Amino acid sequence: MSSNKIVLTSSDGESFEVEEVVARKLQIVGHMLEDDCVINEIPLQNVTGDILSMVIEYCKTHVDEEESEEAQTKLKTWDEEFMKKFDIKTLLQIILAANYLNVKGLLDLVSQTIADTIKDYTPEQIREVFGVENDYTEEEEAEVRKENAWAFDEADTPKP
Amino acid sequence: MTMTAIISHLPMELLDEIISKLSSSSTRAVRLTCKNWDSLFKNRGLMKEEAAAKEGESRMIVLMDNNLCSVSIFFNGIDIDPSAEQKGKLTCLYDDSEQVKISQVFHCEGLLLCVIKDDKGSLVVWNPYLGQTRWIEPRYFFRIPDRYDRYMYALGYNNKSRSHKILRFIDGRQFDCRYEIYDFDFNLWTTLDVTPHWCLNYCRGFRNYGVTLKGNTYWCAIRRNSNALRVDHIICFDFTSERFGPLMYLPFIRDRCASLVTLSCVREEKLAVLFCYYDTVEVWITTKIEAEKMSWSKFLTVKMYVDLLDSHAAGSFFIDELKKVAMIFDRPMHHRDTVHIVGEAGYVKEVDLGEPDDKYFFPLVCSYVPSLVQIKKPAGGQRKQQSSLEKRRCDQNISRLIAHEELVKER
Repeated sequence: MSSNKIVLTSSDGESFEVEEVVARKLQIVGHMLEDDCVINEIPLQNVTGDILSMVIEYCKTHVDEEESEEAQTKLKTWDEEFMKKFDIKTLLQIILAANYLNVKGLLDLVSQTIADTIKDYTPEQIREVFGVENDYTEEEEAEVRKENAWAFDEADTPKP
Repeated sequence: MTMTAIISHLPMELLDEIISKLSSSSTRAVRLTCKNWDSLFKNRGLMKEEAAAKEGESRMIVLMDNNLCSVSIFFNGIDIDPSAEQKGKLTCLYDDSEQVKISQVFHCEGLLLCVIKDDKGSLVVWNPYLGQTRWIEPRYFFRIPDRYDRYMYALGYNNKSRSHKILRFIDGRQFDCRYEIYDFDFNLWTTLDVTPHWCLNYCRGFRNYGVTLKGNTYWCAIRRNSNALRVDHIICFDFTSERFGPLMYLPFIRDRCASLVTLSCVREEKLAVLFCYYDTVEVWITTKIEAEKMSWSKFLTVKMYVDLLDSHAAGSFFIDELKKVAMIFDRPMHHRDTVHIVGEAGYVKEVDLGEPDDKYFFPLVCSYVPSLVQIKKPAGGQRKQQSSLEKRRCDQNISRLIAHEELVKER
């Protein structure tokens, strides 16, 4: 495996020296390296240093994805612990970064985590976090509420 | 750049990615956020969660204790004890609505028609997957308090226009049958001209549930004016032509003296018939369904004493064709709801569903399959006017019904 080092620089000027295999997990970098193989410093304009460091942490952990069930379980546990560190606002920044840097695995992981987080939110909380305007009229809102009045409540404990 | 600014620029594809990972129980807040989120939610594909059943898991919706429950039964072969898990219970989230009680349920491609236990006989059509409901009021409803609801229902659709309809009727051996149909597009009930040569409500105290397959509904039936006590026919109501087809003979039941015959469907492709005679239960499934002819093949036979009819359980069942098992819902002598898992090798396994709160209410299973079928709203919210002839027929039906109920009461 190549031990070639690449320097990734964030929008706020923070630099990270990583092994090429790790950098290649960022597909945006992978494409750049394929186009011109002599680059060893890559500026990443749309991501700040604190977020980039988290993306790199994810990529380092996932650098050699083994097929074995044991390794998969271990990674899954790591993913869960990793995601627990972040609040919703950080998660949203990570999903943007994962999208821009094109890290598929992280994108899936973060979108699932966000979905799990917002499922207990009120509409007001969702609007606030996502910066979305409420464009329903009162009648329309009542209509959606009524139409959506039934659900399977999962909180129930199973019968013996 | 402030945080809010970053986030409001969350690209559509990312929002879509997040919304597609939400479970169907969390639809409400998301749909209420704004119109854009609502439409993203409605248009998402079938969710991964729904698609990926666990090993040996069969998912179904069961009407228990006047409420709908989402239930999974885990069966991994004869050597491992099967188990059941109640995943969720229907809950009303609407601000001022009370928890409803449901007396009957019918399934048609991801939509559930629920009959509400209220004094209007209200109907609700629900797509649990999309979190969508529509309330429908019948023109009239009449029931002697504490008596069993006479009405029978079916939910189906026109095969050309795909618009949904509800058939509602009263049927019985000594009863003047009345059929009416509700059209979702026009929000309108219409009386159907039907002179039945069949009888669907042939056994007192036993509710003969119909099963909808590809938009049409099937019932077990007997020939009217015949003295037959045994069910040996099947009949189909075609929601496109709004007509009943011919009575079709169930050849395998001949001379078997079946004590109970019930229907189910296999995914959304085949019909299944279960019948009990003496100490044997047989299940047959269709190989071909045509308007006037059906072909059947035997799915399984098992020796077991289940007196499904005596226990007044509806004898509803669920077929898992891959595992080659039938799951029969019952309430045996010990008064606990039980599922008998019956396999082709003749084995029977039991799963306990617990003790019911209402001992007069028997579990009913639906072979529910999630779908993205939207429940149409009536066009422009306008109700098409019913004609004066239709009004007269309806009034006539109501007075005849009241007269009949009075007669029954006197007896």
